[in-house]
Amino acid sequence: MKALTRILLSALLSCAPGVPSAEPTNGKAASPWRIGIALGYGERSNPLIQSAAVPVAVDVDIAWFGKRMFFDNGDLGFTLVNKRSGMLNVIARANSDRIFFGKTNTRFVQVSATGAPLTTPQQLAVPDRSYAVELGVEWLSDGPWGKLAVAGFADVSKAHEGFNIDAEYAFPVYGTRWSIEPNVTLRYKSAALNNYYWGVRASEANAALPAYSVGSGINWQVGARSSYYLSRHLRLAASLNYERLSSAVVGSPLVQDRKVLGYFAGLAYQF
Amino acid sequence: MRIPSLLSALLAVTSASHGSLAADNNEPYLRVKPVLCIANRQSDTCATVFLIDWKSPRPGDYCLASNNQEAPLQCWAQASGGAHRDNVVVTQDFYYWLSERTSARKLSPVKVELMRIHSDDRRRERRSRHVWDVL
Repeated sequence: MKALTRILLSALLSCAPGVPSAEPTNGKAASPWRIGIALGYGERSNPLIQSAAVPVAVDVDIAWFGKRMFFDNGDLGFTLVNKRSGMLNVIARANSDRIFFGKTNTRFVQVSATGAPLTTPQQLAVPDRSYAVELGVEWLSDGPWGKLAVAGFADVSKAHEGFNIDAEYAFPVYGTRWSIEPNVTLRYKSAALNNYYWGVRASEANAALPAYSVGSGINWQVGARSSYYLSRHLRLAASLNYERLSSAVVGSPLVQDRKVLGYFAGLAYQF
Repeated sequence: MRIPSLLSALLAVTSASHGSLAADNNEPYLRVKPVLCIANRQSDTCATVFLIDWKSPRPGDYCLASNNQEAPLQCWAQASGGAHRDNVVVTQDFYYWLSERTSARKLSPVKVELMRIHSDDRRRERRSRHVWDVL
């Protein structure tokens, strides 16, 4: 954690000035805004016990890109370096693990976690978890070989007090009217982060939900998103993601499924 | 909106976007597929074969032309319809149109758009952190 904070600070202090290039599109300067909406149907499975998949029918895209500052769907960023080889941004964002904890319910069980019968029913509930505000840096690079993003984030809100490091590779392929972008991601999460979201503290434990401490681990994810353009603004869009949780997380009594599967298909409109 | 209505609306959008809107009933109808071409990330161009066909309510001497070359792509004598394949590396938006041999007037122009879905600004290429990662 301290090491990561040092890396973030030194990146901030050592940054050389760089200005993101203005984006011409067919001779016109690009708008600083990017606004879009997708209507369709999708789900993201929930690996927690007693949980429901997270459904979606509408997805909204709101982003604004200034000379250095930018806002990208909840991420607040500042560009430190922009060179031919890549771009370094400092980002503030909310942690995404919290999303699963909003779709859970409580029930009473008469069997303990070990399978032994209980004399009195015990409440089995997924404990509440908070959103964490994370601060970090990301390095974006691209070329004929594809696109690479490497990012490190640390909690600055004293929620999980941990950090995570992501490395993501994507290779976009374009047809005349369609695009498909397969991607693969490795996501390292520190013990503090994993334990905060996926662990069971002594104060939360009972006979049905034993205390459990989670260590660090690496999640991996593969996915693809694709579009078929009906017009410059309107397209059919679909995405599919499969995430495999680390074995450290899967061992938690809060987790019943080691994978997270997400999909969406619908119509997307970009203003 | 019910699904059949949505599908009809979609079909209307896609079919209308391929063809010309005739200014009057005597003007030929020109259809071009595709009318969108996504630019390659490296070259910023789009190489494809355009399928073009036309129909006219009255036979005539028609020529098919585009902004990409000065000479007509193909001409027809006393025809009421025709088809053409055009192999193009698109570098910017351009038009196909028909003209009569006796007139310079552009009939039934159809615009082909070069669409750039990638960006030079890497921030716009960040992977979306949306749950669905669609947009």
